[in-house]
Amino acid sequence: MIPTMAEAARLIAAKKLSPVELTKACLERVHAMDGTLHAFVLLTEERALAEARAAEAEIMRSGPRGPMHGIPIGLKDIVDTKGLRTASQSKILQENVPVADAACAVRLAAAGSVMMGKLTTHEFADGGPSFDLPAPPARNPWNPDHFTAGSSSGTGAAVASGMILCGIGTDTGGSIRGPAALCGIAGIKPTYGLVSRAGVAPAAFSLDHIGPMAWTAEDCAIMLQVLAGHDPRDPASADRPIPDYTAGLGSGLKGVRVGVIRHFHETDHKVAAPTQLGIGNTVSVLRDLGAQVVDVTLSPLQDWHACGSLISITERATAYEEWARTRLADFGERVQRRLMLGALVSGVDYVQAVRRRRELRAELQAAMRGLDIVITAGAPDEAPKMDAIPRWDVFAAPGFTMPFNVAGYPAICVCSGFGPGGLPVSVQMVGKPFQEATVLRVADAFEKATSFRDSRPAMVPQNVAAMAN
Amino acid sequence: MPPIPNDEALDYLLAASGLDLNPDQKADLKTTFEALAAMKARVRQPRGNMAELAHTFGFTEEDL
Repeated sequence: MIPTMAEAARLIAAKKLSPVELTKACLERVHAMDGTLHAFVLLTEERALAEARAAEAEIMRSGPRGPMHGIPIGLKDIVDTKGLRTASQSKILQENVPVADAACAVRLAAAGSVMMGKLTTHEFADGGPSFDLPAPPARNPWNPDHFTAGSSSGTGAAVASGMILCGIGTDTGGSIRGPAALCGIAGIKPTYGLVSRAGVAPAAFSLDHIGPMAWTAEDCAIMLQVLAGHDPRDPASADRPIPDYTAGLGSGLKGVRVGVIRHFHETDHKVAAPTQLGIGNTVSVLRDLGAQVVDVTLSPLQDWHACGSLISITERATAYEEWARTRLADFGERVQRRLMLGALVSGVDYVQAVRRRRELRAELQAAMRGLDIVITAGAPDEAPKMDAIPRWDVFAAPGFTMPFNVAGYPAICVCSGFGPGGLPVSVQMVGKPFQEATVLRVADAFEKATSFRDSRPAMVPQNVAAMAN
Repeated sequence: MPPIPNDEALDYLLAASGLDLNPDQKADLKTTFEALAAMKARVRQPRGNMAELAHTFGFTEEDL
């Protein structure tokens, strides 16, 4: 089996697993699968091996710095990396070599992680899948004819296939949780402001979040511990104490209060039967573990989607205004279309959306009084085929992830089963602001009470995967 | 439902945004008008006094 990060960390600390061998095993998986999956836009093999050797030497000498020391990771290619091309999957930035690392990259390096390379993204974290960009889109390891979702598409594919143990995603309307859902992994969008955005290309300022993607919720907790913290270089950064995100894992769910936003996935956007079954099973498992479950009603999903989309369209058009005016044809078609929409959203539309946002946040705050988490779908079904994504996807059925970008609340997607196509389905768990520890505790308990973490995609070579046993 | 722009209004909006679109792109953009208007209709409603931007700016000692 491919180890989780938590398992690898324990083995490394006990000097039973070599970071160099672990990195070589990940690299072998990259070489075996990435010609099909396209998860990496830039593989930094020599750097990874050098960092793994350095980590191993330090660990042998004085023990690990922490649980990420010697762990192979990847960074979405909108994350600045000093001296390494950061192209945001755009023709416009093909020559862009940052002079400094993004804040999240600095933190991961300080934790002793091993940087394997830059991971495929939708162009500037928008649209996708696109076939008119400098590199091909990532494909789903459970079936490469199918979509990964995005925009953290490469991170989703690379984690699910064991090329890396965890990676950075960003999330403006679901770009961590969508790929987590469709690739069958765990991905958490933290509370707005918890993880610094400094050095990461913007998508929509007030909706952008940085967060962990990994095989399990426990691994997300380990990675979030490294990432969370105040950064004055991010104007939205929250300055507050950081709790221990792993301390509560395994402490049970007795007394935890769970709300189900049933109308989101049963009425507003009716999900497919396997997803519905997965949510039902999740409720049963949480009840069996001691949680109390009630139904919760919010405004229709369409209201949240409209609010978030209008803000996203306008802020994106603002962030990329100059290039939209001077280099529109250099964007891929999907991003061109999004930027064109910016011309049609007035100042009044934007301010009205922001006013509605305030109401929606207040509504969620009130609904969660007396609750610890709420749950709904993460995605409507198994991953669709690559050619089944609408040209104007912003006007397709409303997604389940945007509401929690609108509200800024922490939300995780985890695997809740598999559909008839053999691809994963997911459930989304949402906590109160800065209560990531609770979200992770519930998600971890669910994962450990079920067997969905036991199998990897069939294409993952088992001979290579066995390296860490 | 918020109004849907005619061709002249679309040209004005694009010019004001500095976007230079070809006829195919304009035709493509027009296919979104109704869906976008429906989206706007969901946020362009009367709201109470608490629904404002209400910046607090996070004033600190450095502001004094």
